[in-house]
Amino acid sequence: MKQDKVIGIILIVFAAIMYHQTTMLPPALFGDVGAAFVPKIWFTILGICGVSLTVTGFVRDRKRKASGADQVAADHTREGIKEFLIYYRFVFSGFIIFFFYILLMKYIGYLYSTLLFMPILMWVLGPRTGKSVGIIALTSIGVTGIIYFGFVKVLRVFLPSGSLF
Amino acid sequence: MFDMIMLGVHEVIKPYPLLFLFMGTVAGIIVGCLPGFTITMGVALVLPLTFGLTSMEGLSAMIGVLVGGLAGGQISGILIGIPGTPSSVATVFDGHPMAKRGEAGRALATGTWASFLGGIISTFVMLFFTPPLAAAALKFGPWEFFSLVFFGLTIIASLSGKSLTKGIVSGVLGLIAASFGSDPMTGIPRFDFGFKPLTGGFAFLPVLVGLFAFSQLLSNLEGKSRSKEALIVGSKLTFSSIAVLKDIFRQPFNLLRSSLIGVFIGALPGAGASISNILAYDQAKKASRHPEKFGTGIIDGIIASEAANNGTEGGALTPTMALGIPGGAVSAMMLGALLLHGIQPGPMLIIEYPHLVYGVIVALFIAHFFMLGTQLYGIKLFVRLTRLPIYALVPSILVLCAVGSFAIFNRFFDIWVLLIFGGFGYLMAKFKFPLAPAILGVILGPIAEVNFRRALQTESDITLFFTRPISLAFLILSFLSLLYPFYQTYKQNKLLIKSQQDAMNG
Repeated sequence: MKQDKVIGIILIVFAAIMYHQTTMLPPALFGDVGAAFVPKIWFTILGICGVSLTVTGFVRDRKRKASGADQVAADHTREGIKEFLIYYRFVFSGFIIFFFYILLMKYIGYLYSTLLFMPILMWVLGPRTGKSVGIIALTSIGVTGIIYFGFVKVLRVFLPSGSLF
Repeated sequence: MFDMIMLGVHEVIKPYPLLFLFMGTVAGIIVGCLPGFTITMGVALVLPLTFGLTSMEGLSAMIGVLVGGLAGGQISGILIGIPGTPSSVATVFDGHPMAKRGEAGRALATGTWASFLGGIISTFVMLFFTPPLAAAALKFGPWEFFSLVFFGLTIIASLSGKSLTKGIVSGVLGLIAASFGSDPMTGIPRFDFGFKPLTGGFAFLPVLVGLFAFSQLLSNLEGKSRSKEALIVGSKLTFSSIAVLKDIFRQPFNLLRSSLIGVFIGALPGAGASISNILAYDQAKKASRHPEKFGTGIIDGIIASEAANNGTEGGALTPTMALGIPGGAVSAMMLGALLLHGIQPGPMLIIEYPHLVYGVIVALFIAHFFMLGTQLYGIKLFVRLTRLPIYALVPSILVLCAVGSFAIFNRFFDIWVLLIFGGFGYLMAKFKFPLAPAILGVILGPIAEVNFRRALQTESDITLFFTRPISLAFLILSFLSLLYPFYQTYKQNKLLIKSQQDAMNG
């Protein structure tokens, strides 16, 4: 599996970098094994797993080639990329819009950022009909209000007020 | 024991714990009946809310979600043929054919009653097994605890996915995420890279909500368009409970066996309701006098599957409350709720906070009555909820995730952690890395490290891990659990070769 090989290599590199980081931690004192000891074990195991994934990936590929079995190649044609983007477009847009939501919340606070975020994301994800406009408006105001009331008034928890206000 | 149960009763039979238990149960049924929304995700969403509640109120809400979610999964499974949660997969085999035949009401009532009875049986198992297990664990030293945690992590890595390596990677990544921040023994900053918010490490709440809820929401957005499955609405949705109970009690062994399978599987770390329902269905089929009828729409299969999935609750919560070792991702989050309130899980829990431990048992018991009443009489409402538009649900839940992550420490950094771990969890799931070991790694990481280092500080001799009998037993079990996937592959290959030979001969 090509993906497993790549993931295996990423894990090896990550484990090696982080293992190196553990060497910069202060040495152990008073009979303790030190702050670096246990993380070193985790990174070693991760590195071994990375090697295992990479090697099994190579072995499987070789076996597949030797047996003459057709490998399903990733579709890198323009059509293939288009299909991929269409399939994942809502995932990407959801992730990106949420990213800007957090960014905005820091400056304009929970209420305004949520009143912007909810209708935008629902507009992107949902059907564009007259009925959906009503659902979007009602859900945005309702959910923003309920969460605000639940957290601030009932649970007495702070919500971001925004650095601009 | 009666005094202890009364202690739990006093803790739960109060307006707020009961209210949160009821609300949690209703929320659980809703989460359960929506395909694509898992119980773990529901509990992850409740976790931030528990911060503003007392520990018992928070635990009650989570127990409600668990009980409701496990029972609610059957609704869409029976009516649409798509199980609301993986724990109701086997219910579909017979439930959906019954619904197609116009017996949806009978199938739903059977499933609900079987869930109720399976859950009650598992609550009694929890009541009788938690105290002796905790008493035995009180004799554990750091060696035994480390080995126990190690066993928990290895078994979850080997049981929760198709690839052992990927399971281990997932668990280790959880352990690594937990090692960021201050060293638990000395307080020395670790892996903060000079970035101030990282000196406290990753708060486990946004990590858990990100890995389980956020990533799941992203998965729900995949696809070119969303098609709506046709619900079988022409069929009658209610049915006489007396008739259903008569049917169920005609096969007491099926009910008891399936419930106990659920309890046993639930107690194993990593193996939960998604496995127990299929295993119980399979056993019911093997023990049946008419196995050929399974899959055609008989109640035997529904009883087995639903009794087993609700049976896992008591099984999973027993080691959680007695040892501080969660039986799965949901119980790991319950430990998270305790940690949020500064309560350290472990065998001392039953001594220091007996009202909480017995409160959980009582809450589990009562939640089943809430579930039974709500699901039997509110079925029409829940069926309507399965038609909620996903484009309205996803943004609403995303806002809840963000606010919940922020509310714990009032830090924006935690919402970024949610986003990063959410994206990371989504990629892990895409590349077939199981997420449950990561959750256990996050929760158990500090416990494993502290006990390992305490053991070595007490006695620098590392062989004590292998010479103390209980510690050795756990390490042997860990080794066997790591070998289990290889044994399974060997068995499957042998079966494959045999079937090929049979085909050639025949």
